[in-house]
Amino acid sequence: MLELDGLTRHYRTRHGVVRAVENVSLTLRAGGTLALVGESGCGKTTIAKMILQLEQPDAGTIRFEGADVAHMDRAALHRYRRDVMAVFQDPYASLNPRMRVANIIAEPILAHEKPGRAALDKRIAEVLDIVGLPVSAARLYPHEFSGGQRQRIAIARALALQPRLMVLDEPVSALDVSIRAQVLNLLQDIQDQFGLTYLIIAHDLALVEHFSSDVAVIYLGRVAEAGPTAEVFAGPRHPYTQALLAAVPLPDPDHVLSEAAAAGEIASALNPPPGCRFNPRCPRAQDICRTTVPELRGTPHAAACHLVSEPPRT
Amino acid sequence: MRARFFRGVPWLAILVLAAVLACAAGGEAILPHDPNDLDLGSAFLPPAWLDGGSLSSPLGADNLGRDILSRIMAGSRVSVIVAFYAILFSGGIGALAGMVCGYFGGRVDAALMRLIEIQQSIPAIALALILAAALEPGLTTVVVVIVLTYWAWYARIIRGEIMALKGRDYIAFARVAGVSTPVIFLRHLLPNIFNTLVVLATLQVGQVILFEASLSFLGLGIQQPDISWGLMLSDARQYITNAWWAITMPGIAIMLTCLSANVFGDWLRDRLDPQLRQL
Repeated sequence: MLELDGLTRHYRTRHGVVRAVENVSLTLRAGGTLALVGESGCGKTTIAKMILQLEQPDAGTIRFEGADVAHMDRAALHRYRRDVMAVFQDPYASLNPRMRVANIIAEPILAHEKPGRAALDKRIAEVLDIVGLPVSAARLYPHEFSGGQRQRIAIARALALQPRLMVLDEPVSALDVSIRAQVLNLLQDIQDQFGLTYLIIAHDLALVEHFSSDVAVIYLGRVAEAGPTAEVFAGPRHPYTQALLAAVPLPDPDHVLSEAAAAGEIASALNPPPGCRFNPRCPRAQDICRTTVPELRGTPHAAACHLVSEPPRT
Repeated sequence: MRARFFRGVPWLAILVLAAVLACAAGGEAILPHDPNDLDLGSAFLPPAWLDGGSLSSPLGADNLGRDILSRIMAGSRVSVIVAFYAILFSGGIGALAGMVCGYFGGRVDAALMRLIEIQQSIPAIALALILAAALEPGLTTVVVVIVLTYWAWYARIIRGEIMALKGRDYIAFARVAGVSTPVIFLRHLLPNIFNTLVVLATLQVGQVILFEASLSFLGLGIQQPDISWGLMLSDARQYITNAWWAITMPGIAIMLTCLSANVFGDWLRDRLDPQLRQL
């Protein structure tokens, strides 16, 4: 459904070029959920912004059902904007405080259609019902709701035009732990009901394992490992993925974090290390890791690591 | 909520501004005397509370015997009209330029910002001299000079506000959902800068009135027989030693009006937009 091929985005700053996203190639299957995982600053939000056409890639292509998104004419881009919606992290910042809920939900509809007042009200009531809010919510302002309810409003707004792809940028990170599961279950129900495809950005690995069908681990703007979630979690190949999974806390007081946990800080995308970008933190780094950029190898479970020989296809 | 909003309301300032507006709106009908009526017999008539003063001209008369109170009341009209148009146009142009710069950035922003910097480095009086020479001196020229001087001030402040607003996720969502740029401006940007615009406009009233008075005083603004406070100061300047009231009374009118406008503007700013306290 969505294919990213060689996607690259650099920012020119006073201090040099920030290589935020470098040669990222990923595929989203229709009806699937691809999770982008990585530390903050690794470029996953930049990838989402390029898919949402809030930013343009410096190189590489984004194809939606075969069509190159960056080179669409106005009409095609407008149709694309109808098919691709977003839910952002902070529901306090993503809803205009001066607008009533009805107008917030009506906004995407009115950008594409001209329904009558009655038809519009009916559709607003329908999506409010889908996200579990009463019809009376339509008359209220965002500040009259809790964080979880606000995120439901943001989901209703994204759902109003029945899009096909939804980009979820850390959709529950800003919410209380107690209501995260509710919102995730709602997103899952909506996906099942409408056959939506999701791209979710997350850093909570437990959430990813539970929620996504596929996962891509991003390190400093590059894909370190990608594949079906179950396979990646069962047998991580890239030392960075192994370190991430080893760092997941377990509810066991005797559990000792393993040695695989990555030491040190994420390097700067302003001055990424040569070779494999993970090599300064990698416990198993060899000479080749410091000189040559590893290619992403293997299907469907791929890793970009010199130390992993391509596994036999299963 | 309502009670809190009205706490600390500067009633005195509002009263003065209301009186100025009433004088401007009232026109000839409410003037005690014809402001251009010459009466050389009562030239330099002192104010009523001094020896030789008369209650029919409570603030005295000028060198040509014209009633100072009537002239101040009539002159308020120019001040109000100039303030209205100057603020409307400088605010409108400045806000639009600021919104475009802040939202689109890039080359448009760079070009407009250079223009603003050039504009702000031209002395307003020099600009007025050139314009008065090129155009007819008068009310329109005064408004044009003030608009050219002040639009950049609005543009800079609104640009900063828009740059902060632009990053909000609800604007990102509107773009993602395919909402057109004019609709984003009207629905998300304009309502959010409205308070700022009101505050800036109110704070500008005093400056504009003072500016008009300065231009008219220098002979670059309002011309005889029209009446303006600045022109009254200019007329009375050479008689300051023998008829101090002829120059002091319009001076007090300017001072009271500007002071009231500033006090009211400060109060409104604190009420509507605490972030602007530095202005």
